[in-house]
Amino acid sequence: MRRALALLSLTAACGGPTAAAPSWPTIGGRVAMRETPDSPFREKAPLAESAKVETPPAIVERRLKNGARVLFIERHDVPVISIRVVSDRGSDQADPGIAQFWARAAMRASADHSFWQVMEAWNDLGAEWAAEVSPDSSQLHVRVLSKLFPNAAHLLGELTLKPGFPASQIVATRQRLQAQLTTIYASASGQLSLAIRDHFYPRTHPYHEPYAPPESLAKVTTEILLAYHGYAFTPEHVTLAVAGDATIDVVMSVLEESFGPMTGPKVGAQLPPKSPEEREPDPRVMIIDRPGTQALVAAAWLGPARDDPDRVNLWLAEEEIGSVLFGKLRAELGITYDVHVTSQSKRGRLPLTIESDVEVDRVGDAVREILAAVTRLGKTPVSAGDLELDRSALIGGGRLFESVGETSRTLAHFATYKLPFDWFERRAAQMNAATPEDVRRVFEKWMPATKMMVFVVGDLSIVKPQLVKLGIGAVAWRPAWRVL
Amino acid sequence: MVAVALYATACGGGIASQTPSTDALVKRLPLPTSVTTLPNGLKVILHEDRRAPLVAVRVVYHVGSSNDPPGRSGFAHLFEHFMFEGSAHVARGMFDTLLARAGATGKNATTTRDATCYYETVPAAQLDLALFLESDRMGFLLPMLNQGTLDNVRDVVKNEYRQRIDNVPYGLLPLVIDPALFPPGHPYHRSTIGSFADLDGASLDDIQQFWLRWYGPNNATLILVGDFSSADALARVRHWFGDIKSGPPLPQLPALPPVLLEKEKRILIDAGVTLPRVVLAWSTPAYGEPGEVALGSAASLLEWSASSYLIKKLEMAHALGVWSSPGRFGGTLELQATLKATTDPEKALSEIQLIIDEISKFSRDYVDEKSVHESLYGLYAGQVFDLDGLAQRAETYGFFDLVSRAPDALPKRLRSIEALGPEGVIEAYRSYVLRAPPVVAIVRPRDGAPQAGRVVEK
Repeated sequence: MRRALALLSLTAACGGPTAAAPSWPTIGGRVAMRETPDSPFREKAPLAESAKVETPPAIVERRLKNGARVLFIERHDVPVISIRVVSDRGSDQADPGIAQFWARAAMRASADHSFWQVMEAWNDLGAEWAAEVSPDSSQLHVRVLSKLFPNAAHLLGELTLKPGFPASQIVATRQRLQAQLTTIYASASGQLSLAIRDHFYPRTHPYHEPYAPPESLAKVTTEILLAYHGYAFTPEHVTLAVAGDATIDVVMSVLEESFGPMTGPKVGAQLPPKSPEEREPDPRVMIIDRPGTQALVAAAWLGPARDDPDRVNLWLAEEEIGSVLFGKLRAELGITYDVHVTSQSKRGRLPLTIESDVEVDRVGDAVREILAAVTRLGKTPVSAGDLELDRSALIGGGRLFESVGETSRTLAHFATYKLPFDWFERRAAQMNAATPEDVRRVFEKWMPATKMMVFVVGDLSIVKPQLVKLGIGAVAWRPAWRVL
Repeated sequence: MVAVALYATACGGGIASQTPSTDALVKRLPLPTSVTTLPNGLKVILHEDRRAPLVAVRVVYHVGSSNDPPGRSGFAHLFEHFMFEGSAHVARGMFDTLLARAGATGKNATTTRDATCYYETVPAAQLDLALFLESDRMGFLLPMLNQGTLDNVRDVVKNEYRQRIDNVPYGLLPLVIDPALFPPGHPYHRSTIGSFADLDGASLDDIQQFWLRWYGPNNATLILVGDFSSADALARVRHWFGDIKSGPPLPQLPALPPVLLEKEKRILIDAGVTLPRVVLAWSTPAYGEPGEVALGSAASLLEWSASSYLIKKLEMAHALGVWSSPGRFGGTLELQATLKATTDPEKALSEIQLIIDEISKFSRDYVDEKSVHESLYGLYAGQVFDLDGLAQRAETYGFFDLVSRAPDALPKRLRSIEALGPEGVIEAYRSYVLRAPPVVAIVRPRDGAPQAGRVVEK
């Protein structure tokens, strides 16, 4: 009876569900012109002085008794806390696909508690949680209301110290990854990543695979995942990065209780993967045949490692060419929705790419414009004004400590690469010291027009004639990769 | 290690036993420090937060695809792009350039069914620049509404369509659900991105009329969150926006009741994909209407139950998700399952229907009081997480203002979640899911079909 009454009040209050077309007024009629009076103060944009780098809040650094490092930023603006267990061991320390598999299976079971129990515990906490992996780092993250910090830390500690990867969970994870891979392989961006990695890296190189290779999924076992986890999460390699609504005394007490029992062997520093030998761009153009009204076009080179002296100046160069090509391909020609330049700043050398989805019959135009921009910027220094623009965009665009979640992520970045806490200020100083000639030089060195490899994911019958006509070099093609 | 056992004992007494007391929590939440309406109708929401030298700026125009003129689907979205093409005092291409030079981040815009939002986060010292740019395109856009700009913007939007719909596996799905779920005449019947034919049919006069009608300060809300003093920021807002002329008065339209279909609607799609996919969609109450909060919890329960049954027990599906998306005039609840290549979609649908029926019985095999409470914890905490970042907070205030005209409505919402019990969740579920036939879309893998899909039957 009570339920029937509840239903009645529900439907009555919103007028009752309906199957008929609603009465929805058309707001029509002509609107008269209106003119806001102009004012002299609008004549010039009120641009203040150049952007300044965000100054980090006070970072407290401590160690647990077992040696694990703790980085903490206290803030009470929102009753939320973010905890990251950060290991400086990443995916290139294992066979292809293992770390990606680990990230999808971790935090879901422990040696003492089943998948269902752990899921129930996470739900009870109303927590956001995730395991993440990159070539250089493995991380476990939780964001939770600060009242529940001890409970969340205890659960996270259990899942870090006594992980469980039961066979049933491995089966479920394998299925999820298979579905994910199927979607990735079906996308243009997925095909592009596969093609680029296949070009730059030999099959045995840790960077050859941008995703978990399908054939690797079947080989993963409980023992393999436990070995990876145990290798990554030892006091020597772990930093607990915490930001949010607590005091350092509470944080240390809770972390000591939750992570104090962590032990593990010392396994030495993680070395970057050996850089592949530079390849001549032959063929110059690789087409991956995928029908569609658009084609994904990319220019690619092998980028520098994060500790390369040119790294900072190259960020400026990437900002510049992204801006130039956005203006040309979207604002002027209207043949694309977006242009983006991507390079990953990791311990090893990863690809540097300029990518744009363009109308399939304008692929030749897009490649021509990219080549022209790269050629010009390798010969002619950027203007001082443009360089200032690039600098401001990069220095001001940190948002490193804006939220609790971003703050713990920034702390994790410090931890992964053992950076000094004023690293962002140092980087800004380097950018401020860069000259137009410095930027031209990195264009010439890292994005030379003569070594620009072109990848196109698009309809072969439409894009190939355009690329042949460009006359920039041999054009090869291959069918799209498929998940077997 | 006693963590899990600890949680298991904490859940007997409803959500309040596990979450902080809402009264205590609310005192600590960063809610707007001031809400002011200028004489021209512009609502200004401010929140001071000095933790980083940044200000999140957000302008919400209360116009979305639900306001697209008849035969002009995609207009609100098309207009979003116009706003970056310059204005009387900002030359074409300079909008982004000036913001980039100022070190702005997160600068973009988005169009939904209900609103078009423009946003950027700027260094605090550049607040005047952001206000100058936003006020110029609010007050002085008309000179830039010319044929050349229209042609370019139309091309860019078509490319966005190709990139986000045409060349994406299953890309057609979002475009076929709403027209089937909401009848012609309903504000959510049309897709946000619109059709090429309607975009091509847009004339310059259409565009100018659209701007004159919807882009006045009296149909907008400006939200600033960050490193400023409210008095100073408000003075700056008055300086830049105070003299902008109002648009015509616009009626405040009420939320519409959910549309309950008389019978299930089927849409069959062939697509050049590897795995079959099924989608079930229901019309649900608008944001803040009775039953809406409960359906957020019901979505979690349905996802949890259907996933464990379809993926784990039957091994028929790879992935499954359920989303409740309430809007200003109505809402949707959508279940999407990506099936194994060998699974017959019809068989999967039968099993999903079985789960839908079982949940409604409140059977302990699928849903009990504890599982309802668990779903509410996530809903509750998620509301607080939405206040974490400056830009996210500005978005949250703007959303609350849009749907309830109350930017500080969060405490009320938290209390409504706290007050919810299993009974309310199940009743809402029965009213809007169990008793209402859904729209069902089935995607069948077919070699040679477009990746996005092709409707073969409806």
